[in-house]
Amino acid sequence: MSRVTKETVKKVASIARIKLSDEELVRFSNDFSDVLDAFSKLDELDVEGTVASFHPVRIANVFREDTPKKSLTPAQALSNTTQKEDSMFKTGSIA
Amino acid sequence: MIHRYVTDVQKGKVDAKDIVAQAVEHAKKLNEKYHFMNTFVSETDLKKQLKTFNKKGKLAGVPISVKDCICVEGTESTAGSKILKGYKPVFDATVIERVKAEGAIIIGKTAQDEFGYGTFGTNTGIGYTPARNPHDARRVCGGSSSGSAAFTALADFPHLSIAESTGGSIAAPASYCGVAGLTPTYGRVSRYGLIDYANSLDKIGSMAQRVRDAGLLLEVMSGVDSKDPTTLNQKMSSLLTPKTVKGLDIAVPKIIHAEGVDKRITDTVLSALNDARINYTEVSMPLNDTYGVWDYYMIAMSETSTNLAKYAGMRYGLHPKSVEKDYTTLFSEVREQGFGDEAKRRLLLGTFARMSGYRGKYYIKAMKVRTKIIAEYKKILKKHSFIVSPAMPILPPTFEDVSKLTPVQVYALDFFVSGPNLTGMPHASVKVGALEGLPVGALVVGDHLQEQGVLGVAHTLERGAQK
Repeated sequence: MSRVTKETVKKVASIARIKLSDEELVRFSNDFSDVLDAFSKLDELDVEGTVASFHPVRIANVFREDTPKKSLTPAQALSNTTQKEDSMFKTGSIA
Repeated sequence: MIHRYVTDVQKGKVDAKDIVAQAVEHAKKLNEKYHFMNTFVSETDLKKQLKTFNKKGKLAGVPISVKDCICVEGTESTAGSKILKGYKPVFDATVIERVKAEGAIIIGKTAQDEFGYGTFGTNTGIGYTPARNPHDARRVCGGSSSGSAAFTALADFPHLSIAESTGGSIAAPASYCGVAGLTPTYGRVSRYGLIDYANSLDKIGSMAQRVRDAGLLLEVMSGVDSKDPTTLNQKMSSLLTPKTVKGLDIAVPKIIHAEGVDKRITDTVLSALNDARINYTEVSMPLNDTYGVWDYYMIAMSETSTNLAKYAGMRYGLHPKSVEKDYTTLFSEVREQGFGDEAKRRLLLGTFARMSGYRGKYYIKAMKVRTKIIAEYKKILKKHSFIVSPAMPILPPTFEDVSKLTPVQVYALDFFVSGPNLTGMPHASVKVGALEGLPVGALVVGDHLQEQGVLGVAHTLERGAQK
């Protein structure tokens, strides 16, 4: 695989919502290239007609009665945040 | 033996309060040198547990340490990451509820690679100190359940540890610290309350100084849970009394002779099989040997990149000092400050692999390769009872040695442990010898839900090594 550029890593970082320093951009673009080279090994294997295993064991849908149960109180739900107002989480503007 | 201690507590011959208090005091002293604990439970919580624990339970009065990625109500649980610093869950994970119901006393949270991202226990989050190997403090413990393994090896009092494995995070540190580590079939133990790494790979398991005691802890934690729909609603064999096994035909993968595997480790494991009079046949596992590690990492990184999305500096853990900037900026800045190097690397690689245009090439392809590797394991395990190999190809390296390795070189060392984790098969790491004063662990792998047999083989090897 060709080398991964700083611009590509910058684009991925933007999608992943993480700010990176210039030094990190250079370092991670090198790591990207090495790791993707290793992953390209998987290209060799023909998987035509193979079903994907999204879990390692067979798992079926699990249903339960739709009945109300006790949930967290607002105080519990907010107990780990430092940014709150009334009974709500507070964060920066979204728009 | 934990069994004898529990019996004494149940009969009132031993006062668990004294034992637990001494255990915690001793652990705190040892921790100054070995750094196996991130947090001890508060004195108030400990007193409360000691006042109310079930004195007739299967784990009556047993001090238990818990990997930091498993939620314990009221005790800081960070998965070893700065981004969760200060987070105190308002609920217990299902496994914590279950061990407490059987009388266990939770004493603290063990050190780990951040979110489980490591082979050696050296990828700790910002502000955390890596655990040191009890046999040589210059060396690593193995990861990612490094603290659980180190503490288990060091404890000279009754103690069990709840660990977790995604791609080898129980077997690797158990091998490097010379303790017994059990990783169950995917779905045998509830993941509710686990700070997840990769959902289709994560498994909560157990560690103890002896296989039998690790089996007891796993038995208590096992079983279907309505809070985790991926738990298996099936009858499961008891793990309370491992039986010595005879007349088995074990498969040993030929990759044990590959370049990169310390021949002395291979010889130690094969000698242990011979000494236990267990017949073995060498087998080829070309798919797992060639693709297993990379398939595991592809899936793990893809899944973990979605799991890390919830750390936005809003509901728990690290927060921005003010919320005057826009949400996306705050979100990105707090993650820059809170994630360590390996977390950033896996977040980026996993996001890339799931991006439009790459999803089929990487993520979906990896899921199909997993199907083929599961089939390869099943074929071997239809003909042979279990698969045995070394757990790790090299002896525990020093911290300095590890610092010289590239990420790809580190990932490649997981080739014995990634296969059973990728395929969700139960496995045990058990000490079968020592080289240069460092423990050597054998890895025993069985088909899905064959924990009882895995335990039996591990128990037999353990007994042989003690003679």
